[in-house]
Amino acid sequence: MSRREHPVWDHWPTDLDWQPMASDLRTVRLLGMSVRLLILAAVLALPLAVWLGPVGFLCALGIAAAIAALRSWIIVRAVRAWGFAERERDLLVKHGLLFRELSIVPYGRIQLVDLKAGPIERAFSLTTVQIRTAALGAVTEIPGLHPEVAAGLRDRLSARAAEVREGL
Amino acid sequence: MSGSARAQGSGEPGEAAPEQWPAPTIASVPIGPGLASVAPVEIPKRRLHPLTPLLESFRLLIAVVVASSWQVYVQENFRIGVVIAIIAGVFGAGSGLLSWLFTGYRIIGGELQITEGVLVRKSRTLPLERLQGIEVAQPLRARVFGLAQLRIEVAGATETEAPLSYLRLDEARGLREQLLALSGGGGVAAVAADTAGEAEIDPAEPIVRVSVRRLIAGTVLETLPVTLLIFGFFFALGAGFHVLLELSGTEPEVWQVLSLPFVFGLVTSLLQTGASFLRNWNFTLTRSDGRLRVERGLAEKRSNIVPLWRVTAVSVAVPALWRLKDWRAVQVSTASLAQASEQLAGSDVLLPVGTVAEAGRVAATALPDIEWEAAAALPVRPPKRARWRMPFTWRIRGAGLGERVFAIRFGLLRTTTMVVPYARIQQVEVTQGPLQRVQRLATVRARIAGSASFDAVAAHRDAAEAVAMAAALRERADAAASAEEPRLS
Repeated sequence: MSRREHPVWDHWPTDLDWQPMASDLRTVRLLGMSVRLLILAAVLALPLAVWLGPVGFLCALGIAAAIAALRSWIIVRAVRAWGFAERERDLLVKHGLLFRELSIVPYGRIQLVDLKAGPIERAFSLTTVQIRTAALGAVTEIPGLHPEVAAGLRDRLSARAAEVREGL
Repeated sequence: MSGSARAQGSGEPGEAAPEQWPAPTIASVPIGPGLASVAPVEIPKRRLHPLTPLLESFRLLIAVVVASSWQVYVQENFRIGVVIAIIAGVFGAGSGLLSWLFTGYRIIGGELQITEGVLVRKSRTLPLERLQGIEVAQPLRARVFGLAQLRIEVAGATETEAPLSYLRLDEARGLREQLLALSGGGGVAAVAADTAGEAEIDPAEPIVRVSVRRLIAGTVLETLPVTLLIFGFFFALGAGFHVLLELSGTEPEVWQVLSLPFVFGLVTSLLQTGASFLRNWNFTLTRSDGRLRVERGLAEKRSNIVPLWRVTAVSVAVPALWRLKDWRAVQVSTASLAQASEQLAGSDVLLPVGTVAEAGRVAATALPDIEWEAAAALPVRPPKRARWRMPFTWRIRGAGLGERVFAIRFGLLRTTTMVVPYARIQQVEVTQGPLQRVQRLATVRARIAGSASFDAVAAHRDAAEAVAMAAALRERADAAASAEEPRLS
């Protein structure tokens, strides 16, 4: 796009201190994509080779590589778009490249704070924080935090949630 | 930024984090006045009414009677019919009796405990501070014996937890009073004190009573457009095929094929109309002690109580054809998901059909400190450049911030104005899709407790306005929440 685009969260009236995700999150996401792609390739390789012949197979490989490159580029940018900001009474989480989303979770409404980590995340010692309120349709996620940062965030969130309980 | 996060990661785990972001100490007592202490009421374990097995196996009994009389009729063999009846009777009575023997309930430590199950013992505990509403229902078969069912709604439950059936009617009512009293004396007392200054409301005098004539007219006018749409759709489809087939020279038999789904659709719509009509027969809304009480039903008599402090949003709806008569329907949302379930269908209705004045009165009752007229005028249309996204509803859709409420309007066939008090907003989201970004639009979603279908959504606002709206919603939600009595869960 030629015009300078403003992500929706740039309109926020006050200044926010956005915290980025750990840079390893990029690696985790890229690895996750490659693993999924490799599994798909392993399943499809033989049938495709038989069906398309050697030249067709090479073409398919090229297309797959192009898609992977595009995905990687998107992932790198998407990870950069993630961010969270702690304010006095609420937590802001921004994410998304194509579909942008800004979630604002007040501490007083938090019902549950979960920490979770998948195998690749664990290998890079990263953790995802999941926050739930009484609104059942929404789970707010903050991925790619170092365990101690995540645990600190969780402790702060639960402490604040206990201090200012606001009910349903 | 990313460097600092990484520096922490390389540091000693558990040491770096507390230094940079010291966790605040947890307040030992919740801020503000606590809940009024409720005297610990405990009732010992009780059984359901002894007639329960008979009523529970009511359908089975009918099936048995039908099956055995069919046998007698078809085979003219009286003996087989009797044998079937005896076997089924013994089996049904035995299992019913067993399950009755093993079912019981008690109140202990502010919780309702229900135990059931013969082979697999099951014990359910309902935390009463999460109570959203209780309905005493009397299906026709139970009414004959003066019995009733107790349907309890708890926050976060997907279906009605543990309908206690069956109890004697007075017992069910007594238990409901006990449960409501246990569910949060503080909140009820606060609402009662709040409204004491207003004009005295006579609990015996209904706020609204819906006459049968208006109920019939309203129900018919509400479902007529849908029925007409079904009719028109199939008629157009049939006519199209008819012409096509005639042109191609085949004998058109298309009407016979198409009439089946058409009749099916018509019958379902008629049945639904009838059901909602029977459900809302003799609809009466009263209010006492900070509680809304709805009495209704022809075949099945139901009496639902919703504590006022559980109301999360109020919607006033105008189905398309009601505009001729200027009628309104009023619905209320609570944190209970079960509202959408079959058994409690329509339990959120506060007014099935009424005049503008009645609707205003009902809405004002459900949200006592809201100026309803002003709130209904709040919604403002999205910008004109969003019009092509919603050509039919652009004029209708709107969102606006009031003094104490967030108001949105939506819906073509059923134009609904939904009002959410700021204090009930859980979390706020702003989303922006790729097309919206090009047009500098964004959607604001104020989530309230319960399922996503209750959220207040302001679609396609100007991006800057949307974010400002979200920020304002959050600020006002905080202000409103800290102004009111704190309530646990």
